[in-house]
Amino acid sequence: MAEETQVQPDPITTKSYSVHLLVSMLLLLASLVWAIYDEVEIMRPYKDYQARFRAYYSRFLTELQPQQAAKEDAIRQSPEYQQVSGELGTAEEAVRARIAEIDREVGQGVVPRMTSARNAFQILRSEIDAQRYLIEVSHDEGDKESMREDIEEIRARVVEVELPLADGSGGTEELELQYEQLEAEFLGMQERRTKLQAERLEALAEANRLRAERDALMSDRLVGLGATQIDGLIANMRNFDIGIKQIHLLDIDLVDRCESCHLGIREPVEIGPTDLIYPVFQSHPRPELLTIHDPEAFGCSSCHNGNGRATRSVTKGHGRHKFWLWPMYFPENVEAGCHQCHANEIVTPGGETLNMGRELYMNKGCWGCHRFEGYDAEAEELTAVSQELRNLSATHGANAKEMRVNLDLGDTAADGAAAQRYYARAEELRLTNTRLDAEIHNLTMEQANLAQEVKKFGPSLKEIKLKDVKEWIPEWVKNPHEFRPGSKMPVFRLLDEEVQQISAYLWQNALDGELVRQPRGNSERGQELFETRGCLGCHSIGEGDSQMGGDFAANLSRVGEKMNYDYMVRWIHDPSEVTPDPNVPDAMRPRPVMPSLRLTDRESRDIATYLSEQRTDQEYPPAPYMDDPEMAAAGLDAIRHYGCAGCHEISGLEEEGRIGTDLTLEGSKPLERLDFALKTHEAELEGWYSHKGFFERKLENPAVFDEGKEREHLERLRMPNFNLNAEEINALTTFLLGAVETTFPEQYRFEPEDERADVQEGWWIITRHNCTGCHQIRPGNVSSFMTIPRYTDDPDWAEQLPPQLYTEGARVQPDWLAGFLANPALSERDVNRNGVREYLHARMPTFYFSDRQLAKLTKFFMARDSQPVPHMPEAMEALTNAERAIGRQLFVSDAAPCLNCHMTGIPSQDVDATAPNFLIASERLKPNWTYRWMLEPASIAPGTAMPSELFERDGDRWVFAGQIPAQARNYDGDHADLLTRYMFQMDAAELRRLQALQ
Amino acid sequence: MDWHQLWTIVSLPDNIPIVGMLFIIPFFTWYALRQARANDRLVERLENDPDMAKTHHRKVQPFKKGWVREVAVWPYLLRMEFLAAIIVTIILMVWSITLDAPLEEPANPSLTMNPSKAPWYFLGLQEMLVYFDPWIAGVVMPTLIIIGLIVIPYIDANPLGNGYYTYKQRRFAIWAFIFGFIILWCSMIVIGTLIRGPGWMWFWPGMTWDHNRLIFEINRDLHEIVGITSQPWIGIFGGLVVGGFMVVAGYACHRIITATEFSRKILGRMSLLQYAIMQGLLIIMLALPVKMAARLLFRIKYVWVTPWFNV
Repeated sequence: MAEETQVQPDPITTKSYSVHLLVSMLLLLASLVWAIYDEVEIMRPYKDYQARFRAYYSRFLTELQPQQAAKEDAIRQSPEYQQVSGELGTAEEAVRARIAEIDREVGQGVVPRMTSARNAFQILRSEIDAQRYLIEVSHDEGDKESMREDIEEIRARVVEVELPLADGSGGTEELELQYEQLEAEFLGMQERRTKLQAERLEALAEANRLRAERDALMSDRLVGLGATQIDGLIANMRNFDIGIKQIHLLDIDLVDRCESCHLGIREPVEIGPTDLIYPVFQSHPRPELLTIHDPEAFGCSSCHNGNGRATRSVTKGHGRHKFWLWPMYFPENVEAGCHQCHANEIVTPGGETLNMGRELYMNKGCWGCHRFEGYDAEAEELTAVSQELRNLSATHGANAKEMRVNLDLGDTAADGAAAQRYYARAEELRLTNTRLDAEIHNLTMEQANLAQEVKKFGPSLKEIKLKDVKEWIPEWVKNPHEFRPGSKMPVFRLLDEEVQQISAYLWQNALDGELVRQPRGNSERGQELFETRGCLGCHSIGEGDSQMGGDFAANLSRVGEKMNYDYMVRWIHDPSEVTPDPNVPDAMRPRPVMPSLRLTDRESRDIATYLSEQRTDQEYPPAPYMDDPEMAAAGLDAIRHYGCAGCHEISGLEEEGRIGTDLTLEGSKPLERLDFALKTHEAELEGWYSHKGFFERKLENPAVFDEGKEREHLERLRMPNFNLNAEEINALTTFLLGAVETTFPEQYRFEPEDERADVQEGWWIITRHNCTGCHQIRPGNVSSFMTIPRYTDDPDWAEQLPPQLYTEGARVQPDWLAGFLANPALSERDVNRNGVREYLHARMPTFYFSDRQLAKLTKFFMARDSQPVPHMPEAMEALTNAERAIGRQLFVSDAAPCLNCHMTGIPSQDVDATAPNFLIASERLKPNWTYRWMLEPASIAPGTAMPSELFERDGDRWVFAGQIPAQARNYDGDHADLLTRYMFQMDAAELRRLQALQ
Repeated sequence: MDWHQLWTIVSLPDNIPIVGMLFIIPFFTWYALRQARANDRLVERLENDPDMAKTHHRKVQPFKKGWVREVAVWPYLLRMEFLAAIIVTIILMVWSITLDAPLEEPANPSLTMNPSKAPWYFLGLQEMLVYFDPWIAGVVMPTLIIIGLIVIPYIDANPLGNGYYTYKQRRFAIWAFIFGFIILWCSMIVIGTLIRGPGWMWFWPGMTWDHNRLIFEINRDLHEIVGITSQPWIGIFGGLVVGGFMVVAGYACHRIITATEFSRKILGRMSLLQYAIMQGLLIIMLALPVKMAARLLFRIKYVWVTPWFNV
């Protein structure tokens, strides 16, 4: 009990918690400080960015300023500048005294007097206005009357005012004025001021003009900003406010704070990636895009994606975050952002990667399996139109029947009124059917047009019995890239038995037909023709380094191994000639992609002979199974399964649909719907669990997401391997990333309804028909011809390049262009030739365009050169006989030997011709363009053989630059204009006279 | 062992409270029981020492000589509460600075996230949906939980243990709480948070949450196992099984209630209505682990299938 007696302190009442409290309070305080610091600094990293930007940019500008000032000085020292400057000084001096006088009068006389008068006047007017209001609200006529009298009294009141003198001498005068006088004084001064200001402006007009001229001189010559402008920017930096910089677009609910860190993006000075130490401050690499898409109207994230609102960190702002659905595009895919608003286009100027992706989608045949809006639109429209036609015909039939019933009812009706009603109904139906007839007619035309446009991506397999070597087929089906590396036919992962079954089906279901036996041609001539007629615009030949030609169509290096000679001759001679199919009318069969080069039989045989020699000595094992009907039956299933009919015309599968998924909106498909299969976890860990990662890997190896899966062969992924290279994969990925469902309203999307829509439409046809294989249509576009050694190395052959079409719309008349595109021979009889440039070895092929396509293409060229629609021919002044004589002289003068190069249509003359036939100029060309062409051909078609500087300026007219013929010396008109008119009024008789002169 | 996966789950801002709960709940349970045992010892001492019981009123701490008889709320309690409030504030401040609100991607009505989880405090309810009909798990059970919590003061016939920690005097209440709240409710939240992955499948900690995981599991109704196929009999059979469970569970509960002299005394203070309500709630509470075991171990989907509801 001893310890119990010992008193222990009570822990609750005696223990002190001061230390606990103190520590806790300090911690609390610390957490509070932390919270404030977090709020002010850590959550606002852009503050640090802005402080650095201000410092670095100021320094950058300060260093730049003297450089620009020096450049400006150099320009100021130039004689032109000095001259204008001197003139400006003189002009200013001349009016200086008058200006000073006006300024003094206005500043010290007129304006002070006007102000004083107005002040006094306003006091009176306010009083009157108040009285008026009282009158308006008063209900007592008596009161109103007395108040009106009050107003009269105010008006009559005489006020004493002290007014400065109007001449600006500084003196004042005291006047006693009434209300109206004050008003007149005020208005008078106002008028005086206006007059003086106008006078001042007039006096300075000459000086102002000269100053504008001087400034223009400076801004034209100075690269970059002027020193004063830079001073302005430096001053801006001094007043720079640190804070969030944002763009807010109400209508699309977009808030972009990107410029809180990317401060240099829109600066007028070009800032390189390292100019301000950190790349984040560089200016936009393509400022021209910002002038088209003003950031104040479009924002940043609308094109680039990313989280425009986020300012906490780079990762969050760029949206590279698991939960942000629209991560910023990586630089290599940045053009994906264009597609959402430019979805109607296949060519978007400036979007080269995106355009390449679209072109690949078109020209690798992706659309054979995967629908994408716009690609193969003709087939879809054809289906719709055919359906509509069936509906209309059904309605038509039903109407006809009802009409007959009504007529019968009318004939047997009990009374006249009822009969009338029946007859009226019958009449109405008859009229409806008449209208339907018209509609059906139009749709039938459209159907025919569309049927002419529909093309399968690959060749028709109905022809293979006539066309191909039997034993070669299974080898090809098995691995086309082994036979022909880079072929557009992709590699399917087929079992050997599937290869045999597919080959058997194709072989047994191909069409039988008769081929004309063709004698062999001359292989050497064939090679020459093959290399120069235009085949290489699309086809290539040779492998590895010796490969030349385009990649639009097949590489023909081994074509002799696979193809039947007789068929080849027929195909080269006229690709549109098909073996008749008893089950499908010719009009409804898809057309071949290959156009006709209008070759003669002999030329066709020569080329075919050359091509049939393109072979290795590989032997193909016999394939007896290809005649086994059971194999063929199994082959049908395999063909369906792998979707062969998406690209090829195959008997029995004409109506087969696409087997792939629609990719029109693939970029906005939720990530969870992309099947990463067993790669999901790996993708998450390695950071490619994204649309980009999926597309890239899938395109590189379409079977990649099958890896490790336990699956039956037919359950495996079907997409074949195209063996794309890294650039192609990136382009297609960019395209697919951009294929999103846009959230932007119509005004943001580029869906023009004016002539720009014609340009959009035209590019589709151009891409589909590979016009750019031969022609340059956009600067920078390299045609296949331009890569062939013969054309690059030999200057004579360089003249043989197909013409550039940069300004085709301005050059030619639309009617002529449509006719030319329909029949480039420009002749019904002599069809085997070039219509315009007969001297060219290469031929403009006949593409069998539909009327609709002809119209679209013509409109494309016209719209691109802003030609007015519809086309109105320019009026042309008729030549007088004297003018015609002068024209003739000029035409054949030694200094302008037009006929040395230009064709005339006379065989003996045209042997050496290297320029178009000007006899057809009047129907082909536009006079205005021709005139400009003669003056400055090089600026219209860089590199043209047409000589420049044929004319020189003489006052306001152009005169011939060479020796002027005697008759022309006294002519005081424009020589170029005269020549144009001469050319446009040329006829056969005149041509004979010309020849006589030569 | 996929440490990355484990860390992803554990470090999710949403899951931080659950991870905290894993440690905090056992700690405070242990701490409360420790105090309860100390008090129980004091009660024993006071019972044996009537003099001391007369002079000393404090019921906390093993009593020592010289301690004040009564401790006032101010300042002794309030200063501790103040200190606690400061510490909690610090924790909340630091928490809110370091961990952001767990916002995820914008909702997409055409795409349900997988796994699709309720807020952590509802995960127990969501887990119950695995074992019961939505009507039972989503409506009846939550209602009964709320009603049960409301009626506790009205069916609690034990007058002892107010205002101090004690184990001896409230053994039954404490075990009911530990069973119902800690074992059932909290563990179901933990399961829902840490164990249930894509497809609401069972993933042991450290397993990769694989969206493509396939498991072979066939859950069958009890009557199918027994071989009853037509309706009135299915309903009657299920009713009998459930009724049987109730009888057995009720008997077991009764045995527990009447296990000691003390608890029999408390039972004597209860009216029949109070007793019936308590039994009803206990039986239903017991039904949950029984059904969980039936589902997880024996793959039984429903025991009682009727056209109106399933149990």
